[in-house]
Amino acid sequence: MESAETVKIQPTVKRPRAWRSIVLFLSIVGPGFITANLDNDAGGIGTYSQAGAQFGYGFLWLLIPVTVALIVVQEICVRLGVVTGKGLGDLIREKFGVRITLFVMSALVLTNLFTTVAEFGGVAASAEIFHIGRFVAVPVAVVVVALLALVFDYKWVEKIFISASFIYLTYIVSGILVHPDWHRVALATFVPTFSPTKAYLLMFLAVVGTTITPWMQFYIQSSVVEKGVKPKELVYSQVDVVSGCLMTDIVAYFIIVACGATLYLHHIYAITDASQAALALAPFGPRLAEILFAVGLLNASLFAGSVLPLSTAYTVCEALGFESGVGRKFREAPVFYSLYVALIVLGAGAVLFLHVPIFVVLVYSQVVSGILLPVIVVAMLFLVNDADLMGKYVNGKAWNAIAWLTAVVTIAATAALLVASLFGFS
Amino acid sequence: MELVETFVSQLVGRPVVLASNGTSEQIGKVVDVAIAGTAESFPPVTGFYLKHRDGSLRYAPFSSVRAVTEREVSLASEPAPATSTAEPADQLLLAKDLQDKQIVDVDGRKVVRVNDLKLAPAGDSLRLIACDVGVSGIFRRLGLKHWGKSLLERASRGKMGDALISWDAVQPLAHDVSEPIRLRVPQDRMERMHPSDLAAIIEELNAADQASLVEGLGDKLAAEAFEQLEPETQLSILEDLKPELAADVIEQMDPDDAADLLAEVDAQTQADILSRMEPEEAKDVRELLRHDEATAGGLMTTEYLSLPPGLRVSDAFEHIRKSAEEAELVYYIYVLDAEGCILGVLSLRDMIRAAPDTPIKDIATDDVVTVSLDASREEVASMIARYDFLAVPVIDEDGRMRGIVTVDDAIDVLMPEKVRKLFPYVGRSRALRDRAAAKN
Repeated sequence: MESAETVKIQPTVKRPRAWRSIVLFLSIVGPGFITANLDNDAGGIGTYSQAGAQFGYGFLWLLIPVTVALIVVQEICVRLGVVTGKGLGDLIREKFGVRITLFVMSALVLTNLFTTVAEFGGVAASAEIFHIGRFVAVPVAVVVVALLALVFDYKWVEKIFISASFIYLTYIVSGILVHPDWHRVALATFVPTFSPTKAYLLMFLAVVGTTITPWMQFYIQSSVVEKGVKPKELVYSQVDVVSGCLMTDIVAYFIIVACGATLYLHHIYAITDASQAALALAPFGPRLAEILFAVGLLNASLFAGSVLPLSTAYTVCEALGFESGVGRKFREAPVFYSLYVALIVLGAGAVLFLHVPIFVVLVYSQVVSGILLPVIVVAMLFLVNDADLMGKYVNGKAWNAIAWLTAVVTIAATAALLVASLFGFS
Repeated sequence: MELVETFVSQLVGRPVVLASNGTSEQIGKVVDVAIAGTAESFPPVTGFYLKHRDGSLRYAPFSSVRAVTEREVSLASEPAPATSTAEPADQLLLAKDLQDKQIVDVDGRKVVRVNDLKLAPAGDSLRLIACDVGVSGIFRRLGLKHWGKSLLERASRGKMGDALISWDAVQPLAHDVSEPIRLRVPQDRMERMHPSDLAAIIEELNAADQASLVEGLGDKLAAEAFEQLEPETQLSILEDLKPELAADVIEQMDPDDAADLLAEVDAQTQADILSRMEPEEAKDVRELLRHDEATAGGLMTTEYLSLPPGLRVSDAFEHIRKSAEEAELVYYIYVLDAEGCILGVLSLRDMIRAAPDTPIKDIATDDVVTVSLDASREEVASMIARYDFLAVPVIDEDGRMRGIVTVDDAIDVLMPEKVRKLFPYVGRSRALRDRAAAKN
């Protein structure tokens, strides 16, 4: 038999394998970065802007302790997720049973509902800058958000929004270009100031609530669980968390500085619409400032709007044992879809039909988060100190101290606010 | 002995009385119910844990129980303080270990959460017979059973009843970080499930539970289910499995899939697993691991059919019968010389059509298209597509045949992954969609 003819293909160069370890590292690093970007949602931008406008640099000092608290709280959730391999809702259910789970989930749904309203509010506010009425912008946003959540693959959605999030760097640039009195800024950063007024307490709770958002703790824990991070890889996730928190709070810091140096100094103490808030970016020139602000706000609102209602529905259904999943039909997972639709409809509806100024909504929604935050933090503390659950990964004393302090201070602020409201300290 | 049907949620908190000499006085409240974990389909209650009125935790073995009624649990003798030596080692605590935990519903083929547990009398014992995974279970736990039921009935027009799953159709999961072998329940219920259903369930579980579930399955079922999992899940579980079991599971996989998987684990684990595999299997996998995954060598499998040239068709069938089980592809049979170089190829169809005593060299084609070991994946894939092959043979620099790349592996190369991932739910079957959704 003749020997066979062969069709020879030219060999190609082999790809190097070094890039693989970089990819591995990047694939673990991620949840912290993403969560950080979600942190600067419409509620965040609105709250920090208002803080700067109303109190000048008065709240800069708070950002340092709040950042520390955020790092601790998020690290706890990441550790819980990595060591147990379960989401926060699952852990709460397994340790505390049905009643407490129901209580925590109710608190979560409530704060998330308000935050959803804030996201749609952000859409409406940014649309104003482009002279698009809210009755057009909000319904379009509802459709966009639903499509992104239900049809498209989440990872792709994530990438788009994250890349657009680099717009926040404009605040840092602006904060510098606007030439604030750095001496005063530095003083305000390291020297706490406090006034026992209702307005101050509200803003205090709002800043805490928007920086340490309850839903994001559930979210980051689910993210590390889904990524399948192993205990021996925990340190990568911890680095990820710290860098994410630092990043988000640096942006928050500069939002306050920029607004403090522009709005506050020009006696605009209460932001009523987006074009005012955009003045914080004045160094970019009036029209560009407005566009940058609007795009940033829109990006933040749509991103959070796609993620938050869906994440809420998943968390609640998994904790209470209802069928969940976007791959299922409505009939198969009625509670899941109903909850999702309810959040979106109520959120959008509130923006369209309730005549509350948007920037007020943005701040107050975060006040609700601040008030309900201790519920989640306390639940987390019981879980992370349970040796049966965490083995050698239980909390250290320092971490416990910081977390408990966070919960206690927030509760105290809430109580003070209640007192102030009842007895009329304005 | 008087025993009633009851749910664990109703039992916990029920008063415990000591009945002796005609009097009964309350001495505490039920805190937990212990059952014998192993062996039986409907395990009997072995005892009750109660919080004594003096504050201590005590254990009352079932032998000391006189009655369990809707109002109380009545004991014949004072319960002793609870110590770990007094209780049997394979005991399960219903409130602590099972309630609110996730379990596998074997017949329903999904993972559910236990809302409540039902106990029923059987002769002189009280047995665990079912778990409640439905909404009414939640209402009962909240103490709102009556309101809840009427509300639900009105809402769903009576369609929503108790969602009870029989205990013998359920598989609890072991999950404690500190005591991984505490839950000693037989895993044989899982044996009834189809491997792809098992795989779908494994995908739904948390990372911690996945490995322990796979470990509890028999080797064969573990391997079959393992094969069906997504590569990321496989990798994650592989890192957690004991090396012996990992080796058994990898052996059952096709060598090319096994090599792809092992290529992703760290060198230490890889060496460990390979050393525990059957030498023949390990050899094949090691061979494939030597090649970069982006080349034909990395895509190929070593399980193909080959024959020496001198045979007749009838003898050839005998040869093939022996190796057909293992081969990845039976449709093409390659004719190799003594050194392993390709002389020709024939298809199964050709062999079937020919007369039994025809020499195979008369049927085989000698115009064989091949690729070299270091050809790129894309080139191999487009070659398969161009010629409409089911597989293409791979040869080394000396012209010896080393393996074949089959069309299914080529398709994975051709389909742009980004497009596939952009619309994960479009055009996929339900099972795959559910799996993809469960990950989110």
